[in-house]
Amino acid sequence: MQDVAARVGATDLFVLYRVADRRLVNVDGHGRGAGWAGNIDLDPAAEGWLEEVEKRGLARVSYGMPRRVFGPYWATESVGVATDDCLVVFGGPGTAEAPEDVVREAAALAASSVGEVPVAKRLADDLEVTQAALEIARMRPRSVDDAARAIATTAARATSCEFGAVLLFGPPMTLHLADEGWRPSASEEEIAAALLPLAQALSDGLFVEQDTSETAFPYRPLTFEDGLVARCAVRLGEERDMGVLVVAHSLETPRGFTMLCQRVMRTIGDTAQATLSALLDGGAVREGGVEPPRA
Amino acid sequence: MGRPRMTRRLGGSERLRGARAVPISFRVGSGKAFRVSDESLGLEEGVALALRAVRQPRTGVAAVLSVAARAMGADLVAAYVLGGSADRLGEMIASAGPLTSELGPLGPVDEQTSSVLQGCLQDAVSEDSLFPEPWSRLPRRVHLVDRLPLGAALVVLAAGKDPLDREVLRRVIGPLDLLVATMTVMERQERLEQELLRLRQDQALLAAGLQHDLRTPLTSILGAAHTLRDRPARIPPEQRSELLEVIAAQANRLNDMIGETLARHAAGPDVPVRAVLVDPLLVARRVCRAARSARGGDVAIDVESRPFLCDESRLERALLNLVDNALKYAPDGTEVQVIGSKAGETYTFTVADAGPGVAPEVAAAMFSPYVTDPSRDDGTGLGLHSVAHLTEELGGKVSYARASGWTRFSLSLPWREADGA
Repeated sequence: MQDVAARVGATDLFVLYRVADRRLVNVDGHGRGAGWAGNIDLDPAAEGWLEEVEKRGLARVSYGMPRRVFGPYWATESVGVATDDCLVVFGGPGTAEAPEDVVREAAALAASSVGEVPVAKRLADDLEVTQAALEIARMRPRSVDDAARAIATTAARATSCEFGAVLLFGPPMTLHLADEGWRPSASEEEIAAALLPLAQALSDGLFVEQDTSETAFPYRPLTFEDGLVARCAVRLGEERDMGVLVVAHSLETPRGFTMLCQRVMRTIGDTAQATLSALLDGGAVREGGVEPPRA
Repeated sequence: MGRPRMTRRLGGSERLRGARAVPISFRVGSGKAFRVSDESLGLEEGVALALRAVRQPRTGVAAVLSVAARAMGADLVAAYVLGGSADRLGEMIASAGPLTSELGPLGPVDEQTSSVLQGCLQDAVSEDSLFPEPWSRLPRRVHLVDRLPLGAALVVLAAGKDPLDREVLRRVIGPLDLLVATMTVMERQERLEQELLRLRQDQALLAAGLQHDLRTPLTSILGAAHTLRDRPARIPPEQRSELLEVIAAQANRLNDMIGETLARHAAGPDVPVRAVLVDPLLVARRVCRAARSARGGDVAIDVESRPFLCDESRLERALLNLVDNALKYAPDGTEVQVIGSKAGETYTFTVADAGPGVAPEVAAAMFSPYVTDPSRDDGTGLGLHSVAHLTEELGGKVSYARASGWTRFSLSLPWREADGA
């Protein structure tokens, strides 16, 4: 696949296999397309540009800056080709200018050499999910506050996000930001206030926005204008609504959330709520440190 | 050095740690029970948080709506502003609740929502009112109206599957008022700052454009004057009078432009277009004479004489810019063509030359100010912008095409007959 991508000068190549009329699955590729294999599942009718590729046979985009192309994929330039069974997407600088015959030939080659997602890749993905859960489960926090901060940090790291936060409803209501990464230049109150409407939108426990420039929650300082491009939130607590865990990608590395990322977030959410419930039921103090995970 | 740990109690209300708020049960007229609980997220605390986030008042409004939705068990709560500086139909300024994503973007509302909001204002909303989606799916609805300064009104609408307590809205309406007022003032200030910036840019552009526009007739006057001065004996009498005519016409045009600029300065940027009956053939002849006296070169005129109502000064300036450009870039020995004809309700002037045309990399932006062809170093980037601006003022449009070795600029203008013609 690397050779095929190189023909078009693409850094990323996605082979989106048509498994049903309204379902495309990324089965193979190069760059992000390889890393995300098995973790992108799309309805082409809900993806404007992919629909255009299907309709016209070949379509190009060139935004001048990174924008969402489809699903979680963001790029400055892309070209997509529809073959019999697949949509093949090449992304990266210069791809929108690639000659049509070269692109069509490379797409046909990519589509013909596609197989199933390797078992090893699926196992590695499962391991990633388990590891994220383990990291939370192994924490021995001395306080709710430290647990919440560690959860925000672990979730951001596990999903390769630049922003991570936990808002606990309390009382008292508290905000816990990840120890590292991007954060908006705003007060904690402003960040917490912007998270509250988001926390309300978690009707099925998970909320994903692949492109915040088209959001129903344009509340600063957590908007596209502030430098935040995609976000994923998970409810903490089923019967007892404890709060919300939010991770986000910034303009530094613009991209959205694959199915694997969403699985990781659900798992972290489940594990985190158990940890937080245990601490709250045990009457934990709200100050203190986090013990390192056991070896 | 590590980042300082970010854990701090938010909001302003003072609660004892570990203290749990007691859920309060209400019974309403319908007999169905509902519950207001601030067990997990206090209304007061949420409001206090929103007020402390006052630098982002819209976010504060959304936060207040969130805690209100939670306290009421509402699936949807939204705040709307009507009247004042809001859109004619009203504007949604924030929303909250699990169904928020279905509500669409913030901003102006549609006719149906507007009619519901008007009903709220007149206290004429009932369960039978025609609510748009997703409100219509939620059988229980309450609303609260609050009057804002400057004739505006705030309407908060909440809906859910179960009965809702309007009292929750009463408790948050004060803070919402404050946040909306702050938001209105801040957004107004932002708009004014942007307007000021735009006016300053316009002013700078106007000054630069004027300088550019003044140069074109001046070049014609100088060209004609030099010819008369340097070759007095060799100029036949008819060419002498033609050159004097050019000088007089262009001096008159300069006079008009200065007058127009002074009027614009006095009255602001929107000086009305002065439409008079204009013969396009006479305009084309005048313009071509002036351009040739400055640049030399050959111009062929094929313009249909179909007088129509137009601002003559603006038309001449736009056309002169195009003919002057064409003469500048037309290769030696080639002819510039000025064609004019009426088709339907449009009169179109086309200026064509056999020059190289506009570089492809700047073609898309050629009518924007200060866009110049990188392969040439003699342009200011204001000529075509001026043409586009003048044509727009005349209610027309300018277009560019390159085909079969010809560069064509066309001015398409609305053709209007004189009243009673």
